Amino acid sequence: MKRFGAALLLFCCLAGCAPRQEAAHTVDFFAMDTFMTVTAYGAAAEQVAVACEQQVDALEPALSRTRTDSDLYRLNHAAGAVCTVHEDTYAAIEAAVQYAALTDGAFDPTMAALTDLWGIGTEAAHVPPQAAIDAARAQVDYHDIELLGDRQVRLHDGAQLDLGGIGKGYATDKVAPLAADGALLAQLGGNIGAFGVNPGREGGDWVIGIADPDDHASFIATVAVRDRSVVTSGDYERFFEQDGVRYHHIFDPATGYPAQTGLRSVTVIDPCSTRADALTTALFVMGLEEGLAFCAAQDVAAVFITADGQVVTSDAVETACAFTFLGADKGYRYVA
Amino acid sequence: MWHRLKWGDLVIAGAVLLAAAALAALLARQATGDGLYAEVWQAGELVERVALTDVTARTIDLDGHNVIVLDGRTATMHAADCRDQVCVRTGTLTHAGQAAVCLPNRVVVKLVGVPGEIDAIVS
Repeated sequence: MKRFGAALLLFCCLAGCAPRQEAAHTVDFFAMDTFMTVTAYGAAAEQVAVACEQQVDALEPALSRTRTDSDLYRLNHAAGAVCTVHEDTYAAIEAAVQYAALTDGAFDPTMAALTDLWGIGTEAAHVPPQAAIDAARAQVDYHDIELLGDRQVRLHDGAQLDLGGIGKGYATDKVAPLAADGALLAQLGGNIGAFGVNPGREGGDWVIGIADPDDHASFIATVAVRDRSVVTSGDYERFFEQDGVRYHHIFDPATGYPAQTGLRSVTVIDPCSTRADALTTALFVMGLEEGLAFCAAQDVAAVFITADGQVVTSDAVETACAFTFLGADKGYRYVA
Repeated sequence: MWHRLKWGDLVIAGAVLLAAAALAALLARQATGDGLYAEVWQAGELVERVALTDVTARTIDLDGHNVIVLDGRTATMHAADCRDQVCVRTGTLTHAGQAAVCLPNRVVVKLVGVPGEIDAIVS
């Protein structure tokens, strides 16, 4: 009997070493002109995942500028009149203006005229005449956004708002609290939010791969994070080529052309996805040298991948995540 | 203590270890899923769910709009008639959590199953 008891005890101990998996529920959906996947873990996984989808869907009319029933559409067609907008629209505009000021306009939410002119990602993509670029540039200036308080906004001098640069980040920040005590991995287009303790990995971190710009299904580095958003902007998804030049969708407000700063991508790791979203664009426009200086001044954790194969991390990466470089066999060089 | 062990004790201990290992493997298998699966979604509907280990080579043609190629380890959006070709440029999917998305055609190829080195790729 003693033998049997000891054997049973040993069996239970050993079998108990197997990994355990919390209940998980995944929802996939299209929203904000992209594909989104949300996986929630824990006893309320299904309710949380469904609530995330509903939250994103509810934000769409507040952040879209193409839907004719959206606040932004109304604001962009108000010819300078004051508009009262939804509280999420107002909060997102406020955030956009804040990051535009922080980056001295390297991120600018009034790029709609330029985006439409170039048409990148559409059949109409082309290099516009310089006069048309100059005319569109004249409409780009975040100072022309007047926030009047009490959800009232006015646009001056033909400025046209486009919150596409922070919309998915704003949505990620809105779904984060839904995780409550559970774990949540939200992949909203190029924005990832990794919240809570990852039940599938020893240590509980979430390991996010940073895409190889030349083969973006594979990755050349990873960051292990918890309660962080990881966002990338790169030149390799939406672009067209003409006369050997790649014209991508990240515009430099100062030139009206796609930013040509020798970068292929910028990834930002930050607790705030809206900030990360705005800063990836801004850092791409700034380029490596200016971008690193900005990161040092503002304590931004960023990973830059350059056109000549360098992978460069800002100082703040060390404290924001566990960074692992994996790109040596693909010809990349890591510069800490 | 060791000199008191009998052959019978060793046999029982060995059997216990084997049984525990088998149970642990079973639990691990249930926890992580049985390998990698490729899921093909079209307009929000699941068109195919294929265990990659069950195929050596397979092509899924969605009425000529999107062509997906599967093999024993990977899934690729091989061709598409969309204007932007973002889905085709995504390349070959190798890890759970990856997806190639054709927004214009509302087609998604994604890998699900065993968590590998990463939980997601940001691009």
